[in-house]
Amino acid sequence: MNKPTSFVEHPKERMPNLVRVAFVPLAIAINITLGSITHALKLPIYLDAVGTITTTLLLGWRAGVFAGVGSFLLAGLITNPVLPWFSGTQAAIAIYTFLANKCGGFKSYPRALISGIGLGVVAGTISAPVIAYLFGGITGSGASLIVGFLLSSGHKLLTSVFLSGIASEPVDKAIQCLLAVWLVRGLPPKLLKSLDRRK
Amino acid sequence: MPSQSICPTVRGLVALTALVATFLCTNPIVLFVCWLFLMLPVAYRVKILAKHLLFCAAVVAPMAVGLLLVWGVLVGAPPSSAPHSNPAGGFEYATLVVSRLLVSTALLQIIFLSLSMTELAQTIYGLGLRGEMFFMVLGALAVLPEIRLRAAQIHDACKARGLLGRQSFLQRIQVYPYILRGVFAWTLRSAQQRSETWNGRGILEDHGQWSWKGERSFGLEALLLCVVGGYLVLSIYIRCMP
Amino acid sequence: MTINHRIDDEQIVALIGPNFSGRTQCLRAALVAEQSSVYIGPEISNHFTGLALTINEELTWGRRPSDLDIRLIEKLRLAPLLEMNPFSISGGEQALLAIAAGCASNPDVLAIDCVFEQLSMDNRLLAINLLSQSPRRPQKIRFVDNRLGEYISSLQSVKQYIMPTAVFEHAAETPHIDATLDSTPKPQSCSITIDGVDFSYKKGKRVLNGVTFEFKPGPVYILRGDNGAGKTTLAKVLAGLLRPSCGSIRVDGRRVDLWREPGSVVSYHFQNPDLQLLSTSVIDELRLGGRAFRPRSKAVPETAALLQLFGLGSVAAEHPLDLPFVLRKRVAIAAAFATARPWVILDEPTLGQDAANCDAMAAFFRRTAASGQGLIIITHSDEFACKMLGHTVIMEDGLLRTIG
Repeated sequence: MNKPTSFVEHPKERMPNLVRVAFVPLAIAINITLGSITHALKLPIYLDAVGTITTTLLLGWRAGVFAGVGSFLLAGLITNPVLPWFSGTQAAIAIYTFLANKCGGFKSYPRALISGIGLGVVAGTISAPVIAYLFGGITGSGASLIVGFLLSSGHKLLTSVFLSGIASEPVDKAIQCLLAVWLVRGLPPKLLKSLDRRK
Repeated sequence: MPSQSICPTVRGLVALTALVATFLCTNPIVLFVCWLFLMLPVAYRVKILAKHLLFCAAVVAPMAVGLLLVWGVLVGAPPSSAPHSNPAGGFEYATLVVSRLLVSTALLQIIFLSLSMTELAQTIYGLGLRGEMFFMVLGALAVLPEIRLRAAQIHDACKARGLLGRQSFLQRIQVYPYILRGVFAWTLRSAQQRSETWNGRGILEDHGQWSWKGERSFGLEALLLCVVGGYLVLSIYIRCMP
Repeated sequence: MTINHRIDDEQIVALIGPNFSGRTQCLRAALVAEQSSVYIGPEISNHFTGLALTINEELTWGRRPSDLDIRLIEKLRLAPLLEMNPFSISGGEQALLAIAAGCASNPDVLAIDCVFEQLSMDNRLLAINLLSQSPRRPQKIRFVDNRLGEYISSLQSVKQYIMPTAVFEHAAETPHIDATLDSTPKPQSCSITIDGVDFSYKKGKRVLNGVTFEFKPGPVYILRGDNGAGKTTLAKVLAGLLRPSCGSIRVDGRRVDLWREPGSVVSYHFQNPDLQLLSTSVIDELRLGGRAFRPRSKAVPETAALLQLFGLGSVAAEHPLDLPFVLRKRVAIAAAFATARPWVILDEPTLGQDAANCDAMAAFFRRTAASGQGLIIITHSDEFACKMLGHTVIMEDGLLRTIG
């Protein structure tokens, strides 16, 4: 048997790090399961970044990237093979959320709204090439109609996808940012301390 | 095809090569034939045909309809041409995208859905993921049933307290954030308590227990590599053909 | 805090004392002192590794399979479940698994906090006796069980350590249930008649097999039965969470489809309180429930009374999930009553509550049922069932029958 290697090297500092390591797989699983919650409630929404944004606000950008990318890759292996192509978008969401949070972008609901609009622009921009070149601009959602209209008006494929993304993503991401702030504010304060949040 | 006969490295190589070949190929007929006469029988053999067809109906079919409508009718031309200059080319482009989607999703589902969760974890380990990252992936796989159960239980608890009433759309929208909050709060507590268990039991130690232990079938692996190699060559030839 | 040195060398010790006497802190103090230790709390599934994909992996994590105590696993009836996911088995089976897994990791100290009271009496005795006799048992086992008095005479090898005075960290006074208060919501009474109700889960055996019964307001109904008998399923059907495959349910003689409006007639309190705590303060939690069936203008006037009754007055502004398990349980029960529904079903309401608080709870339940609140209680505790002086109803083979 190989000599066991321990990945948490410093026993005294072990606990806060262990809590973070324990939290991330749960965050990944939540991200994957969000669809089943909306399905059970029969809601026509799929807030695919709430888990990533919330994890980033709680644990920082690395945990957020891992939760977002991990959930999309895993979900691609076990439920929806289209999702892994959008892992890059999840990583970008985590990094943007971290930077915006550092600048106070999630200190209040109005600020979260503005951060969400910005996040929508970023997410729409990063997803556009994937949708354009891998999926021909069409994902089966309502935004596809906008793409179709823009294409028939003579716009290029990438431009059409980008513009349709800009039209729909900011609203979607703004809602998710507001929801993430509401979630974080509603978590039990003493339990939150166990995550050893660094401000 | 017994899934445990193919080692993770070969599995990863086959997946990657086949994916590259799929996106290099520019002939939708070749791709569609590959999906119909190769992928579907293999999917049936590894018992994921129903899941795959359900996915096709739920995700691929709406996209296919959208693509055909947009490129064949609305735009009436492929991306490189002026609108309404080549409707047949538009339909061909749409079918190319759909057939790529069919083949790539069938491929990924065959390669990974045919594995049990334990074999999937061994495959991920065998592909080189180690350390805390591996345990995070493993943890996500392990707790998926629990998260689904918790979300369903919290949903039930909301109903049992009369929060959903006659379950109108507005009531369901209002309850959704509370369910999410309940799931996240439970996650936080669970992480705190689970980390104590890890600390007490020395859990995060790699004894190599996740090494892949299946019996390799070299013949099967060689056959797979030859097939995907041939597929890649064919795709390159089709792409480069005038 | 240190454990009394006289019991340091004892193998199995039960910590005896009322709520807030520091039993949990005492257990945790024993863990800190030792190199390798395992603590299992009342939220059992949170104490699994969360990394094992099967029960076999949970038991053998980091060990060779040959190190397992196979006899222990077979006696705990876990052998047929080895290839299942740990989170897909029942609550009682999870409790047994947590104990077996804790034992299998060979800790110096195994601390078990309010886990045994979640098992049936037979399983409790089985688990404790096996732990004390297993060749690979931990050096020290410390546990807390509020129901110990029901079976301590059957245990030869267990020593008892009596905790000193109770201390509550959140407020000056220790919160107790005050059964003398009498200002709870008075909903409109009604009877519920179930006639030939069937239910089966997908691909599973029929759990409810033509259940026919009439629940009338007045007495407390104690619903008992083995694990898997269908008690929770029946409770969910009554609460409108599950739709019966056939049969009818009548409320005051009028046929209703409870599944169309869940929570409208019956409010159901789950065994795990954390599933039901959705607000950021205790008082908001009480105000939240049942609002779908209450006019907006009509707040629950008895919220303050419920807080005082359940000893929650001093923690009204606290986040429910920051409270100790004992109080979280009470918040969830109070929230069920705050919905002011004609019927309330409580699943294991005494979990984590000491004997004095169980008595107070029993007195409150008897009085509130007599005043017209319909009440059905699911419990494994013989002692509590006796205190309720109610109608005991047994769930067996998918059918209900009354005794007493």
